[in-house]
Order: sequence, then structure tokens, then C-alpha cells
Amino acid sequence: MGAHSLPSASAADAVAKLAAAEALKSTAASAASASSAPGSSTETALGTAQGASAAGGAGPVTAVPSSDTPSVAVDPEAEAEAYERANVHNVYEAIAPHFSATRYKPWPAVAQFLHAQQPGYVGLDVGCGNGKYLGVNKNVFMVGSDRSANLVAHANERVKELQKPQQQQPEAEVVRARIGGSKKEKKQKQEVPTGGERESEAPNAVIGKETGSEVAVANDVLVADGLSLPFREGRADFAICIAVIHHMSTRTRRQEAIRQLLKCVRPGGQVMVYVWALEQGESRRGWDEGGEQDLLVPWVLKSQQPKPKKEKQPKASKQKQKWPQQQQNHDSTEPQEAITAKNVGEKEATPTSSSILSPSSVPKDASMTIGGGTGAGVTEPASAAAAAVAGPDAKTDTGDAAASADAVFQRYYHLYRNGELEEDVLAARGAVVMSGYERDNWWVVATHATNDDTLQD
Amino acid sequence: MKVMTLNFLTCAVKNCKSSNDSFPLHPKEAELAKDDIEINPQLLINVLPRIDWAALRTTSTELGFPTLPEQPPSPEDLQSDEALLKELHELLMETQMMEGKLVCGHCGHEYAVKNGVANFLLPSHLV
Repeated sequence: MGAHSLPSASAADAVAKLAAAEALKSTAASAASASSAPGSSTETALGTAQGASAAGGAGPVTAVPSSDTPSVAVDPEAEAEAYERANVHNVYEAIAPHFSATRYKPWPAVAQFLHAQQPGYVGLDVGCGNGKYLGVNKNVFMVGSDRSANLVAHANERVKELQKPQQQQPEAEVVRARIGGSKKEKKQKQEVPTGGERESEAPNAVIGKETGSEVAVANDVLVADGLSLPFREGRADFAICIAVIHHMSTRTRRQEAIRQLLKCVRPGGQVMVYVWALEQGESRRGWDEGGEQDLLVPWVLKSQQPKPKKEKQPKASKQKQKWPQQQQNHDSTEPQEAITAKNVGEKEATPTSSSILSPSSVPKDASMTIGGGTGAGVTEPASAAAAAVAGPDAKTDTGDAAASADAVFQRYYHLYRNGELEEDVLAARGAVVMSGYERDNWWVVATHATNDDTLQD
Repeated sequence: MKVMTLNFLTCAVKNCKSSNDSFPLHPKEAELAKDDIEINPQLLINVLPRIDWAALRTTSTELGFPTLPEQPPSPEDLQSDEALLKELHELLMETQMMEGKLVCGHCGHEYAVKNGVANFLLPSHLV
């Protein structure tokens, strides 16, 4: 060790001194308090969406009133931002628990990219959602970021789970609860994830450690906007951005997002971007070459409860949908989408539902709490618009539940046509290393263009 | 928020990126905790050259730890010295900033850290 004496036992002492006492009591206590200070995972899974403003880091997101910016939005950039806030950010905040419960299986191409990274590499996952890509490669350190504080709260749960010292007990309980398939769990399968972009027909529903994993993994997560990232430029070895950029509503912003990713990685570092494809001939969504590329895609939070709680009264349908051209294809696309979604939703949701995050004590009316409790100012604009646009579709796939109880959220998507992603990489002063198509998605691995002289700045 | 992560973060404000004052961010009113994480020697040894050591020294000092040596340990040091490896692990991976603020030394903007998660969303006038 010689001259290199790091803060040793004294460091631990200092930590202990400064730390909240309860956080140090035990591993379990530490993990619990670190991931969701106020309480159990149950509370987190349901409470984040419900009480966003009360849930720590969630405040800033929901605190931005969606009605403010549109009224003052005079420049296109601000307008695009406001649009995305209403039709992407707020939606994810609202559907975070359900969304998270359906997202656990990595896309193969992404997993392959991650596994190709060297031990000790430092990577970024921009738009990490619930953090399903954290821990795929256990020998890299990854920092995930997402615009949605509620999703980041889920990702943080995952981080804590992944880094726990080996304890079979908790995991075994989860598995048992899952296999048991209690009634309670069945009642959880209310979500109908209509967007298939982060698909997951996963046989393995364990969100925490992957099956067979025995290495503890260190990762981290934070809340950030993809266009204003807090990462020091040129420091990361690699970055991924999966099913994120298609949520940006202008081409300029999509290209800028790729530019930001490239700036984060060192020279030679690689960035993988994955977006929903326009060409989905194999899927039942009905989208294909030549179709409309800018769409609002519904996410239906279904309730199968006989007596759902009332949804909060919409404050107003103040957020009139702009850009009407983006909805022109709804009639033709949504029915198929809804059907697809239902099938996918049932398949996906059944094994996992919220059981992973809250194995036993989910309130019966969880879905409605989530659907309606996110804060009217936040979700109603999207929801109201959704009702107007997708109401009939929602009914078609409800059948076994009260249609009126379903909460429909619209998410904006830009469907990439063949070649467009590569064009955007070039426009972002990047170079395409490789690219491909995987189950309704285009992907690209990009790096800095060799003549990019802005790397130094 | 791990100390490790802090070593890769700067201010989210565009104008601050080019300023040396924006890195590292300065912890303020930090409440720390220590996670119990299994050590991954291979990862640590390979991560070491990716660490900005000077920034780590600053962060470490600001968090109240004893001053780090001026020079980082070498991979060989780490490989041969288990105690050193463990110390590095404790500092980088296990030490968590649970609550507090991260302050940009350039623009002065403060980012909140709550429940161990830092929030870098900017108010509209800073975007």
C-alpha cells in the first residue's frame, strides 16, 4: 500500500458518523432506506405515482405545471418541450408502476452490446426507465438517467436489489409469490401496455437479480433530461439510449439527443440507440412503410375491479392536443394496437404484475389509485385527450371490465423509417458503426465521426 | 448517489460544461449512508484509470473524509493490497449520498438529492 493510504477504517467511521443511524443498522435496513426512504417497497411501487410531489426526488417533475408552458410557448423549441411534457413525461410519471412491472427483459441486441463492454467500463443508460439494463453486464459500472422521477425510483429499487449481498431469502419469496399466483396477483394484471417498444414477453419476471446471478453489481441512477444531461463530457466508455429518442417530437431534438449521447462518451466510445420502427409488417399494429410516422399511442391502465375508485375529476381539458396531423392515423392504427396490447399485456403482466415490487400487500384498488391519483394537473391533459381519441378503442378491449374505469394515457411516438436513424446519427456528427432491425425496432451503434473537431470543447 | 457517480457528473446547464468550475459538483448538507456491497476487484481495478483522481480527492474531502493521497494507487497496488482495494470500494461504491444538494461551482445552481437520487432537471430559464 505504501504511500497510498486511502481513507480506511476512518472513512467508514466518518460515514457512520454522518449517516442516518437507521440506514446503517443492517444491510436490509440500509437497502430499504436507501431506495425509498419513507417506507417499504409496497409504498414505493404505488406511492410514487400517487403522491409524486410528496415522494422526494419526484417533486420537480410534477411540480412543473403542464398548463404553464403552452400559454407562453412562443418558440418551437418550447412548444415541442411542452408537448413532450404532456404527451411523454407526464404519461410515464403516471404509468410508472405498471410500466415498470412489464419491463424486465432486455432486447437481445442491447444485451449483446452490453456484454461486449470490457470489465471496468463506465456506461450510461439515458432514459433508463425502470433500470432493466442495469446489471446486464455485471462487470461494468452504469449510471442510468431518466426524465421520469417515478421510473427512476423503480430503477433505484433495482439498483439496491442488484447490489445486495447474496441472500436467497428475499428472492425466494418473490419467486414463491409469483408462482403461487394468488388472486391478489391476478388482480394486478390491469395494465395494457399498448406501446410495444420496450417489449418483454419475458419468461423471467424477476426484476431484481437475474436468474443465476451471483455477482453483486454496483450501479447508480439519477433524474435528468436527455437534452440536458449532467454527465461530464467524454468520460463514459459507452452509452445506451433504448426506446427513448422516438419520444422526442422534432427531428432537431432527436438529432440533438444523439449529439448529447455522443458527447458523453470518450473518443472511440460507442453509443447504442434503439427506436421504434415504422416498418412493422410482422406485427399486428398495422404500421408499415409509407404510413404516418408521428403518432399518439395509448397506454391503457385497465381496472378489473368491480368497484373502482372514482378517477379524480379532470381539472379541465385544458391541454388541447396540438399538431392535429399527428393524430390523423389514429383511427386506422389504434384498433390493432389495442388488440395487440391486450394480448401482450396479459401475457406480460400476469407473471409479474406488482408482485415483484410488493409481493403481498397491494391494495385492491391499486390500479385506480395509480390511474387517478397522479395529480390531476399532471395526468388529466393526456388522459382527457386520450379519452377523446381512444375512447372507442379502450372499450373494444375492455369487455370484461368497466370501460369507464380504464385510464388511457397517450404517448407521443415518432416511428423511424428505414435509414432515418442512421441519417440522424450523421446529422449529430456521429459515425455509424453498425445498425440493424430487431422486432419492430431500428437500432444503431454510433461513435464519433473521426473528423469531429468539437470533441475538444 | 454513489461517490463513484459524482466523479462523472457535472452541471446540466450547457454554459457550465466548458467551465472547470462546474466539476466536480460540491456536496452540501450531505447526509451519507453506507451500503453493503460485495466487492468486485476486477471492476475496481479497471475502473481506477477512469476515475478523475483530483476530483475524487475534492469530493472525498468535502464529504468529510481524510485527505486522499495526491496520486492514485496503481493497478498493481490494488491487486496486491486487499485492504486498499476494500477502502477504495467503500469510498466509491458503498458510500451513498442520501440527502442534500449538489452545487455547481460555476453557476451556483443546486441540485437536490433525495432518497439517494439526485435530480438534474433544470428550471426552464436554465435550459
